Amino acid sequence: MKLFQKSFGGIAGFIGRIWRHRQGRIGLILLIFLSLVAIFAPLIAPYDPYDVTQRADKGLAPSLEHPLGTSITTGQDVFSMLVYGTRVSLLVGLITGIAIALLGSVLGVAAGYLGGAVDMLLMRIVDVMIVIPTLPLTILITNVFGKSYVVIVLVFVLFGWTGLARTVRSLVLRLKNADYVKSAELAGAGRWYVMKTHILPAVSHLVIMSTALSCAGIMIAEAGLSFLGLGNPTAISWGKMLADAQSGGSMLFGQWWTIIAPGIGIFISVFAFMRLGLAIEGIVNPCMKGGSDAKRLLKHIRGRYLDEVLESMEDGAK
Amino acid sequence: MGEMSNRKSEALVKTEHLSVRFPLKRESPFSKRRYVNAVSDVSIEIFKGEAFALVGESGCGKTTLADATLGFAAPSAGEVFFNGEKLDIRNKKRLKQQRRSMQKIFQDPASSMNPRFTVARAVAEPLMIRRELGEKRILSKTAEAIESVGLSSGDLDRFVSEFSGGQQQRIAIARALVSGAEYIVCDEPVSALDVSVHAQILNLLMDIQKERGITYMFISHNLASVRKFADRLAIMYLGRIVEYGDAEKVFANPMHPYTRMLIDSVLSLDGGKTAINAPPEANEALQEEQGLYASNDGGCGFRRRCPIGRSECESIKCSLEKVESDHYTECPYAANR
Repeated sequence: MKLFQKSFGGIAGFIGRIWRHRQGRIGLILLIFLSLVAIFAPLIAPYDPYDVTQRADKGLAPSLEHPLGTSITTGQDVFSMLVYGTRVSLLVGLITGIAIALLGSVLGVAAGYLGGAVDMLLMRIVDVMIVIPTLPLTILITNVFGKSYVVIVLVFVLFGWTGLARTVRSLVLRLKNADYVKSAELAGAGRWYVMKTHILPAVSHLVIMSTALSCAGIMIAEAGLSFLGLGNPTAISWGKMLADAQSGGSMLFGQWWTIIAPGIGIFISVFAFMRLGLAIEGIVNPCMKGGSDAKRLLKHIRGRYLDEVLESMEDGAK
Repeated sequence: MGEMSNRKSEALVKTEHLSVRFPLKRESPFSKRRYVNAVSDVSIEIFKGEAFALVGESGCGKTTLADATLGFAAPSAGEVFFNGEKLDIRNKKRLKQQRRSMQKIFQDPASSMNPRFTVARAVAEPLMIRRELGEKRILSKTAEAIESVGLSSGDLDRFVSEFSGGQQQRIAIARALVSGAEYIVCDEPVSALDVSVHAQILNLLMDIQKERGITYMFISHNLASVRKFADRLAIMYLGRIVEYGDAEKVFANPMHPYTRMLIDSVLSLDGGKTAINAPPEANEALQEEQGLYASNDGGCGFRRRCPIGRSECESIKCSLEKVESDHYTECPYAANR
């Protein structure tokens, strides 16, 4: 029965709106490009950086054979490492981002809609989680449980859901007293029906936006951890490339390409997710006051998103 | 609705000494919890097939009283009966059954339907929640309901948010009809709409009532529309029913000073005669009352604004007294004013 299934805009319509948004289009194009690079890495990269036999002399300058030279510690082809590194970055970013989106929205909806003891418990957990300094704890956990991306993803998810859950909860609190929810309850709807039909679709755009932004943050964090040597030591990631360049003394020998290459990779991917996130934010919340993009970015990085949402709500009330 | 048929038929909705109160935030953990008595000691009967109006100013407890009859607000004292059976909020299963014959039409149609829904989905939602009918039956019933409110079935696949306020209210009415409700609470159904469509919506509601014999609880502060619409009414002031009974009798012979104030304050188009009787300090008095309201210190709640108030009103215990058949008032001094 098509009449009943037609939803407002739908997924295709939503992607269409992002596409028509100038910044959103930049983000989408870059993201598609990065995904293609990650998927077809073996076809694009001239060498297999995991293959020990395909190593050249250490610290070679860029040439036709090695477009970005070779690494200073192992002699791997830097361009190939850059291409393969896309896989780790994107995979960690996307998996963590999606897991955070699922956990944060489910717990946020549960806290907001069920209220009472569930709300109390979840929000106290959030309060505690928010004051824990994440980086030292991450270092501790990876040292105890081993340096693997599984552990890193789990740690990111464990500490990442709180902000989203709080934002979703505040939106749900507004939605659950809407007349249409009351009207559905009067028609015999149960909690599950109301959550599924009226509440989740209404928070979905907010969740998608926050996922795009958190992916960007996680990719930076992942690079940072790998740089500190806390990532999987056998995997090739942009953070690890930077760490190698640092430990091999690239700067000392003027081998700037080993530093610029992973830097550009990180920059492009973070830039793509940020553009996407800010574009979705503009679509979802057109009356958001935020000043310049740079200011809004800073606020996101500092985790002040919730304050901003609440502020714009208050302004709306005035 | 003939008067006689009302008298003979039995009550569909009945409240007995119903009170609903809401806790106020405590000032300190040691202070006694205080309450707002939104509805206190209300006993009314709404007969099958009649249009019952609940009139009063904002904040007087109209919506809370209506919500109590729908099982949304828990009574702190007293009881609500629907079709002769007690409405028990804690018995969720039974309440769900009883609610099948209830619906509510909200003040703001834009917020009473999910803006993400198509008209078809908004109207059919009650049927889809029940999952008793096949898709074809649901679709035909939906189309029938949307046509009975004056829209075309071609509108079914448009979004609710694409319609004007008056049309949205028609969709909301169609939604109430499709569920086969026999008791519909209309919470100020026209006050959010443009004045030019008031009459259309009210006429539509009245036509539907004639056709299907639905019982309405019509919440309003607009006496002009109440006069047109209601068979019986209750005037509410600060949570209490101050005058109650047959609409014609109340309008012909208003007893309680508050009722008179309301009737006198209706703006008329005849110029000059327009009178707003509330004294200039009414707002101040009202604010004092809000405080009083929470403490519930006894005495007549209206005494501060009352033109015929006297010292006895400070401590009087009011209750509805009969004036004539099916006409009751709380004010004992109303007759010999």
